[in-house]
Amino acid sequence: MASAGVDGTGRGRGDLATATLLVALGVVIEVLAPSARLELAYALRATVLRPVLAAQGEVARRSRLSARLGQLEAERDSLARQLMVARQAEQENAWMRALLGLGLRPADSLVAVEVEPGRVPGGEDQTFLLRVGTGDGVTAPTGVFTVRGLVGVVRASTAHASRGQFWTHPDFRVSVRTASGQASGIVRAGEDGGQPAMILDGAPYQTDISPGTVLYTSGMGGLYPAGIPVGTVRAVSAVESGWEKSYRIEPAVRPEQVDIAFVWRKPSRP
Amino acid sequence: MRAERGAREWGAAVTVVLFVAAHFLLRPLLVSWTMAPDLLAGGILLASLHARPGTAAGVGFAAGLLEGAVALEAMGALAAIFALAGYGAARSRELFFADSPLFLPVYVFLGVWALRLAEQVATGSTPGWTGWVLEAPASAAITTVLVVVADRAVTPRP
Repeated sequence: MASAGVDGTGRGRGDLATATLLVALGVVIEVLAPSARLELAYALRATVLRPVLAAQGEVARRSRLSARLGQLEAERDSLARQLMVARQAEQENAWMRALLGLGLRPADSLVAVEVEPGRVPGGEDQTFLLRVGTGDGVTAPTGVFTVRGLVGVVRASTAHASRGQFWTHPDFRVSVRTASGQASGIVRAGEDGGQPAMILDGAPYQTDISPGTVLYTSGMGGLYPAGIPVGTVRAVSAVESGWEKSYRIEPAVRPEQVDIAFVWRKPSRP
Repeated sequence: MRAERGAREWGAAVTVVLFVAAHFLLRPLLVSWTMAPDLLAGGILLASLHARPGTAAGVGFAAGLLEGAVALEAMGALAAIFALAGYGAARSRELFFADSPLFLPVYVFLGVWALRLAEQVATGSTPGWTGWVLEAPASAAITTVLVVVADRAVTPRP
């Protein structure tokens, strides 16, 4: 590291020019397209930051695994049972569609991927990186979820990486409905007792949604597949007289619980 | 004399690299504790103490770029702010009485506090008034202790 010593005017000007150039470069990077910024972040994470991120990932993975081993075994058994039922239902569905003369539904699929959260000091988990992109059939925007429920949405994709927002992000919105379909609304990020929570807006005034009711994605808008658990109703948070109600929602999945998630590869429409 | 100065410069450079590496290695722990030391800001200020303003701006720029790549937020803004901070800190050290024993702690404390607040503004996180007047100064105080100890270790003064 070269010591400053006594500044000559020429060296002082050179320093000022260097600093100005770097600040300008920073501003240029900030105004780049999200996919270009993601490409740069991905390149840095895959090179300079790779050893650090790999070490962090390994430590986190080991501590999670040892803490959740029993839970993972129970989840595996439960999933095996659900899979058997789902296979039977799939066969019945195909048989009934054939009887009604309906064609096969366009196939969608899921990509399992590790979620790498990006967190700013003093802030909450709001964004994440996925090491899958358009090359893997993932195109933004699309939903990200686990077996337990909705995690967030992919906002930008490059050939081999995607940047997403957890549901805690202020821009996050998802259309939901109850299992019965009697009530629907839009869920957004909010706060409950200083903790990130979800708020259901636009629920019908005449319909009461009782605490404990599970909300699912409605599938409207095509960002998320229908039927993914989003959260459970806790209480009414606000009432717009004669118009609509808002509810506090306990999220199905909290960002800090997520390690592996599924990205929805949307079916290609004819 | 020249060899001693060279060794001091190398010592300072290694300390800066250690601060930055420790920041990224311990980041998952540090971000979950609001009063945790800001080792990245400490590293930039250490660089500003020993390097030319242009070099300090370069260290700040690189640190900001890496921080943005890890946080996935405001990469360019962080790089610009940290570059500006590195340059500004290196220039401003000449305005103070560097011989005063209070110079280094005050310089690092104010620098870390300002840098932390600028970082929070750039990334859009809203820590509230407790974050501005309690957590950020507490973090700056802990960082100051670490930076002063590290600086005394690598560049012993008579």
